[in-house]
Amino acid sequence: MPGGGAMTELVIQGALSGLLIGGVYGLIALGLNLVFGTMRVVNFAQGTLLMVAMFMSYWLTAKTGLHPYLTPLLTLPALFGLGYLIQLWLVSPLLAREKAREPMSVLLMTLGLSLVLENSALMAFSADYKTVQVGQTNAVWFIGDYIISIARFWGLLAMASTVALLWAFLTRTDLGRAIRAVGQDRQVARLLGIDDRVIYNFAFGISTAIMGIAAAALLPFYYTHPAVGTTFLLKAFVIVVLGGLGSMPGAALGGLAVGVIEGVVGIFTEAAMAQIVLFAVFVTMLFFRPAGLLGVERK
Amino acid sequence: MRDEERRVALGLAVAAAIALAFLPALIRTLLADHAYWNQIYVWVLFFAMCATAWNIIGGYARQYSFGHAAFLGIGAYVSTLLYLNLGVSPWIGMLAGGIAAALAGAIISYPCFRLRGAFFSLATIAFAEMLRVWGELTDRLFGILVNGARGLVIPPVGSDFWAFQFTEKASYAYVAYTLLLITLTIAWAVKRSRLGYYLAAIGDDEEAVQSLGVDTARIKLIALLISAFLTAVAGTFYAQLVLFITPTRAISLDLSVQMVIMAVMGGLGTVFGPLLGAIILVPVGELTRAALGGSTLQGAHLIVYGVILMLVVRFAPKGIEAFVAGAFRRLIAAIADRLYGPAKAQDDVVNAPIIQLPEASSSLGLQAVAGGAVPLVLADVTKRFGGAVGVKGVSLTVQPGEVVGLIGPNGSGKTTIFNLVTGYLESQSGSIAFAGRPIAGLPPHRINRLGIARTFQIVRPFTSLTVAENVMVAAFPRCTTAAAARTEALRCLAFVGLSHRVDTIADGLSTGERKRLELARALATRPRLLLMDEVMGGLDQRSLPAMIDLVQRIRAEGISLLIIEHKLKVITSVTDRIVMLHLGEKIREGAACEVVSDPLVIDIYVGGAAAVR
Amino acid sequence: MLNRRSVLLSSAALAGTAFTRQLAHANQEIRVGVLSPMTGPAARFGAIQQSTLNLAVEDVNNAGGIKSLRGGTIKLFFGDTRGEADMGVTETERLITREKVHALIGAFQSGVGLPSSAVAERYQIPWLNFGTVNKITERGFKYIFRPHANDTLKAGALIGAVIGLAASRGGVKTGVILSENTEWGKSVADKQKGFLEKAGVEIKLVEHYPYAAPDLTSMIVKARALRPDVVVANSYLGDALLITRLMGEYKMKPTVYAAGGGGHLQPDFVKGAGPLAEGVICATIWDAALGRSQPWIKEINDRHVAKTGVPITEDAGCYYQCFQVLVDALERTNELDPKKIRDAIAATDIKDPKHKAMFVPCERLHFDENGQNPTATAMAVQIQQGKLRLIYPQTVAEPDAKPLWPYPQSA
Repeated sequence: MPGGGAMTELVIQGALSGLLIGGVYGLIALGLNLVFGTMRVVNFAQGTLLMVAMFMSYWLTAKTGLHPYLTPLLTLPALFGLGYLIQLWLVSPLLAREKAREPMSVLLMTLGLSLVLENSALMAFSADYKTVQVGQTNAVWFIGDYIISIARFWGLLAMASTVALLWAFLTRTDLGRAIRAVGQDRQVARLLGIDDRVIYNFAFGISTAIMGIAAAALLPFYYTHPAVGTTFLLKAFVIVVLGGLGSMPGAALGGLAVGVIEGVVGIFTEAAMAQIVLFAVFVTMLFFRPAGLLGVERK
Repeated sequence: MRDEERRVALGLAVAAAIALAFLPALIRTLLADHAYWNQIYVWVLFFAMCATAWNIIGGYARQYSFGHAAFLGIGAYVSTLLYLNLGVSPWIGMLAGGIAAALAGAIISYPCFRLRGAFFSLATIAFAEMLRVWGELTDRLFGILVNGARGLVIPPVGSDFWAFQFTEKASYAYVAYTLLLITLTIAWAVKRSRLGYYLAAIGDDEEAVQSLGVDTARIKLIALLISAFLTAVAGTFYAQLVLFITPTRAISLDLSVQMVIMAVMGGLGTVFGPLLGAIILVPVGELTRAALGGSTLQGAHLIVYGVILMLVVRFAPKGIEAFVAGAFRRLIAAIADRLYGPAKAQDDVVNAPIIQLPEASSSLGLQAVAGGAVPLVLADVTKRFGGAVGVKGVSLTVQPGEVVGLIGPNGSGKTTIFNLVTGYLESQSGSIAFAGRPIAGLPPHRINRLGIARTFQIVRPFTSLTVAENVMVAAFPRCTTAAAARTEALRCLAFVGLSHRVDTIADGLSTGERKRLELARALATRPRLLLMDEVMGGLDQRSLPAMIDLVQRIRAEGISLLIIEHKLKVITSVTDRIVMLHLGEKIREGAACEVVSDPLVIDIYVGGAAAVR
Repeated sequence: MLNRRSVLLSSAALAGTAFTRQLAHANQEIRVGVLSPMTGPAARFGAIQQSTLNLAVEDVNNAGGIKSLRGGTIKLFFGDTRGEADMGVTETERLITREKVHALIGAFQSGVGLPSSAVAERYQIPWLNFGTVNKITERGFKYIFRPHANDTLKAGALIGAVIGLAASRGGVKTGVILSENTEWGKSVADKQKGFLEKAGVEIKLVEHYPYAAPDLTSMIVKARALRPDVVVANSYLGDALLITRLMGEYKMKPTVYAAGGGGHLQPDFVKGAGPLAEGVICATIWDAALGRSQPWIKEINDRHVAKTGVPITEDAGCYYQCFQVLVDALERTNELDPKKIRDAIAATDIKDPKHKAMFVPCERLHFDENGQNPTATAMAVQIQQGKLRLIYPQTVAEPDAKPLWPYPQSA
């Protein structure tokens, strides 16, 4: 390993690369966060929904030649609808039945869903890795001696815009405010005339649609294959806890943090060690500050 | 269940157990590819073992661990390493592996059990994944070859009992069967013991259990130790069956999830549920894979698992054990009728053994301690929530034998005071003492042991237990056997007038009955001070006198009372003294009739019950 | 719970099917199990292995089957290892106990083959191995045979090619080795390191990564900072693509980019890596270019291309050889007994270069007491204009394939 200044350079490059992929991580965590923040349920199928989104974008690109970055125009509505229906048909009945604050049955239901989705994709598309080649695929920018992958940069930008849009939506629109209200106190929101079930449907739909953005960002530089969901899901959990449940900026920052940790640790040791470090950080956060860096402590 | 039915059930169970013991031999003689079918049978037994072991913590106490495969891996690796390096027989290695897994469980339990619900599950996943990744990375541990992702191969030595290897699949089936029987017996014993009651209650409402004097962390830990030990034993069996272990496979999320699915499908919290789940899901998976597997339709069996899981969660959340048990019970009843003649009418009515229950008005026999003991003293207590103030500088005292009322509008801090006294919240300043010793900062179960009990504003019965079982949970800390706990429970229930509902599932009680159940539970902890949070809430006018009478009788037992109440009639007729809170501060204190006619009090309560007499 | 009635019913039904299977055996069907990654990240390898073997079986059966076994036909039973060791183990067991195969060929990934072949040894079913890790034939097993080269030979060929080329072109001084972390990657990296260091090259980094890893950026960033002359990658397909693309993205400019085999030899690698694949030097045991000196090899490859659109790959070629060794042995047994088949394989002795089992050529195809063919050899190819061209050793190098040096992406 090089020493001194060269090492610093390495670490900075590692951190930079990590920061860029962190953008996509953050997007996935955003989706998870939206659902958890509103309904206090963990959507175990978030990763597989990402996989579904990736396959959608992949097929659009492969069959019609549409640029991956344009596929969300078509996939976003479809994914929103998918999420809406999942909530309506699968999750709602459970929420109606359970009185607990955080119903575990939803976790099991979404787990079952993810098994079905992932293995259906495996059957339909086989386990090959599928990739696309577009202009952005291997393109890089040089900033001094440092290399910025253009495709990943767009991913980071996508996350930043999504966070901004989502923030605006949640704070400026009625629907958005209703979502936040339901997230804070279901009962009171109902008293105010908000139909929490409809809100949940929307939240789930938006959360799934966000996966469409992440998928489009990933396509130029990542594999599409049925098991891609699990990898990202575990990371998304870590991010959500790190950044704070219910906090959108937290999810975004958490994503970047996780990316940077991965990138830097990978420089010092093997890539696999980064996983262990991440999980260790995860557990530590759960233990000391379950509300996360930016989360709000609840009574 | 009457005695004859019990005898039939036992007989059937023993007969089935013996018959199944011969199943491998039967398969071997009748089927040409017996090795294949016995292999499936072995997997059924193996997964049943894992799922049953998982159930002890995951199903009984609803602590959904998704990392149990870590214990499997620990068991497999410990016994294998001992065998490969020191020639220790895997039978002994199995025990060593179990202990190692229990140790691991103890280590992670402290951080994990502080978390609830989904957080707990995520933490278990994190720990298991950490172990797996670390295992894949590590080639040597203190010089011992662990071989990372490449895995360890156990050299086949043919049939050697001491080396825990057999050439015949049937032999493995016998071993697995025996291990499963042991596991089931342990699971059954746990369920029937005090530990089982605690776990079931924890699964329903952990915080409420703490208020009954039970150290829930310790209970969960014990269950986890047992569960980890048994899972690791299964892990050793796995290693000896496959003769090849890698972290990727042995500690996989896949395996953990399968254990959970089988237990959920079969019936969480039941003894035989996980076995049922395994019996159905393993052959389904195996046959799906065989029929449709190979190059295409890979993973078809996982789709089936996923669909089954979704259906079960949606339509049969208690699992299929309920149906099977029901059918089984009918079968037993039918057989018993045949053998012993039909049940006589009154046999069915009273399910519990007949004991002479005391009259509803008789005493609890709590041996009231006269004078000089147990005042509750709060001095200048403040509690903030972020920016908001819960209570500020509140001082109040409850003398022995006193009944003090705590009133105030919503949000004035009454329940906060309760939570502070019973240890659910910590104050930022001030002191709380009981019987002369400071109790601020103690956990709820410790405080209960010191003699303070409480009820909750929104009742929290253990909905999956019967009324009697609810109270037994509270009585257990002071009793040695289940029978003694039940007697004590029945006595408390008689005291509150719920004798006619003792074997009803708590879920089916009316609001008034639930309130009384909560009181019975609290009383079973033999408190010297009882905090009652709006026990009259939600009761109609006709039920009030009986409840007021109950409160008087509790007082007559020598128990001091601190009562939160809105109903004026109750306040004035029951309490000696009233303390009024408003916006977190104490604003009035004095005799009941004084306080309620105080203009300030009326003012604050404008429109409330106090204004109108 | 299983009750007596259901067990008796199902066992009666099964006994029936078992009986009918006994009848089928009267036609001397030779059942051969094949372990391949049919799904998973290495699925492409499995697919070509399957199509190649199907071709081979067709040939044998159409020519009248195995004559010494009364014209018995061969039937293949594929077990999907998914590229995972424990799946290989369970599939091997299934093929043996359920499908009752008489012999096995497998398993491509050495990490899978190592434990799976142990199962075959346990059940005493002969196993013809493709997978280069030395250890496979160093366990004192009696039922495991490998007709082709092991890791030492492959590493020797690769480094020999690299050093040979370097000698007249300015030499190489430093190197890094990036290897997947299962049995094969670890074993072959070791051997390559040894050979390189013996040739005076300083190895600055040896890193192992999980072959299904989604992101290898840190590893490439690290490797790039070291500015090595030689980069050796031992990868399967997905990771080969990932590494190559990252190297392109981060403008890594080694003098030579070498590969231990596996992924870099796949047609999908060339397709996926595009211009970045040009100039990669790979070790190989078999290559279609061998058809130039042996037209019958070319003919078989052409037939495969006609049928599937892709040429036979290194691994599929070795599977083909294993199969032909088995056929040769079957012709020397007159009883369908795995033990006898094993003995016949052990007695294999082939020198005729036109014998089908010489699909992977060697001097004299026979097996030592450990089951390894001591005359097996390895070669090196280079990707030139999207095709694999033999460049080492001189005896088999294609004359019109001038080696590219340095790795063009570094130009």
